[in-house]
Amino acid sequence: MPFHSYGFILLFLPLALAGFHLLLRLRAPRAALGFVTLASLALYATWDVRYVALVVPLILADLAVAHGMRASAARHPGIARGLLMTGLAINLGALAYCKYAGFFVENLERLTDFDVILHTVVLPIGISFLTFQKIAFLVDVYRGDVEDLDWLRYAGFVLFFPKLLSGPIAYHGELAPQLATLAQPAARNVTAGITLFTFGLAKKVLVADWVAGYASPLFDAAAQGAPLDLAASWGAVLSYGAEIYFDFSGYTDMALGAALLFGIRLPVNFDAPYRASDIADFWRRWHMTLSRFLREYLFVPLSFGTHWLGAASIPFSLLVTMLICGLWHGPRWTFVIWGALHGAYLVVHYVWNRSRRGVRREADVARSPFGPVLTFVAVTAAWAFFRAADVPTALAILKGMAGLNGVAGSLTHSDGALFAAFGALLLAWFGPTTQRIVSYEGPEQSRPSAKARPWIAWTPSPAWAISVGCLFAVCVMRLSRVTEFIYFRF
Amino acid sequence: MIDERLQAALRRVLRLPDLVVDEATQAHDVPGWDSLSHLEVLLEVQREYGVRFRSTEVIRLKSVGDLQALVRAKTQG
Repeated sequence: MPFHSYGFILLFLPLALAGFHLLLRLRAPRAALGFVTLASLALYATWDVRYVALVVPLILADLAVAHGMRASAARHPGIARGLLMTGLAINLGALAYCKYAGFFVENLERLTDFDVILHTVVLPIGISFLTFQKIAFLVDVYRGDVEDLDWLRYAGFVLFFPKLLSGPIAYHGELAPQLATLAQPAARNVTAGITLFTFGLAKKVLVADWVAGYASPLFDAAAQGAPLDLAASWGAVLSYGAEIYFDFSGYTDMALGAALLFGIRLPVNFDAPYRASDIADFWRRWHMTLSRFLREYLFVPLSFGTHWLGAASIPFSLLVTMLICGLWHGPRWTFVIWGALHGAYLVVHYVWNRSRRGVRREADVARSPFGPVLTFVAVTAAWAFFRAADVPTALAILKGMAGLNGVAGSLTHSDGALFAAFGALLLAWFGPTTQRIVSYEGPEQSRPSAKARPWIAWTPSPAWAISVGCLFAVCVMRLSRVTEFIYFRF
Repeated sequence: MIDERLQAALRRVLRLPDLVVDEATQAHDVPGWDSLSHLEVLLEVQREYGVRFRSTEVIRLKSVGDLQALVRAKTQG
């Protein structure tokens, strides 16, 4: 059951909170952690019991590998390395089998005359997110950066339900210390958590689902071969850009808010990405915990590993990293092309910056509106691939965006789509982020730089309580019509 | 003191012929020293001194002084 369901809001969350706080009041923090971990498993099982049967043995395997690495690190580094490879192979193998086996077989069949029979594979929700968190843990243990190998804290870190289904991709080093010192959260954190959860719910239910109502019919029309004119194609991608931002950042706000109710701070995942001044800046603000993982555990090691490529090692590593980033979202060529596009953007940005090194920066374009506008347009064009049903549809939409299908045609949705997209995007461009309204800060490692408080700042006051309560009521009344979170599919 | 070889490597990569750094200098003090040119700096220092860094070692670097200390540890050990 997702966050934006009656079952979660009215049944699961109150029960989980009541049990957790009761056990803390009885001075049994370890039992409280065990309770939340079991509750997380129960929530996972409401989707499919088989998910539990897959994820629990994988957690036990991680722990066995981690203890083995620690025991052998000093005297048998070769064994420790072999164990790391085994642990990575188990986790990546499970992900590859569940998520990519069908894609692989399908493309193999297309290239050859083989006819392979593949049984339908169960794809546990969130496994892509879990796999990266587990990989980071295993690598950190191998590097000797992990002190705490307690089994319950590891299980609690992996399964903690606010981040179980779609991240944020937290590090063990961020969560385990918090899980080791569970305590009744301060009243201010609880109210901030409720506020953040409500803001996230509103982003999803009121904004994301509203703009999706314009984006989806246009993408569907394009998939059926209708040529989208200039207004319709821009309306489609702009409203999708608004949809995916409010959908995923709304989910994340709900995750951070729910975690705060348990006194846990999850890392921040969004920082007004559509205001980014360049494409590298975009990736420091969009799905920040994914780009952080890819940077630290893939891109940097890859750059060092390919140093023999000389000047090409960084562009090569950027491209490979972003291709994998694309494929991580799902086994589809549209995601691969989306990743390749972002990789190409980052390479262009890198080469451009490199050519301008040593040049005086006073008149830098990055400081003019040109940088943010170009970045936004590039990101928006790439969404065409991310959202389209297949590559020909995405190309048709790009053709429309270039004005090759005429300026304004017959499709009636397009004006509404542009209007809705700009309405939502104004918020994303100029509004304060929800995290800054409630002064949310993640665990120390991922804390964004201290910034001035926005013009609208939450305080635990009656006026805010009434406003947030009304917003919550409006959202809850609309729950019966909402759609699934986009990122649950990844 | 920062080695002249290290200074020269930084000047080459960052294309700042007049750059002077000390132990306390951090990347954000120097124009153009962003996360990607930082990687280039590290790859160039590897070449210059004939050493190999592990990605764990370089993630923890905070200043030019840290980088100098890492290079010294590698070349002496």
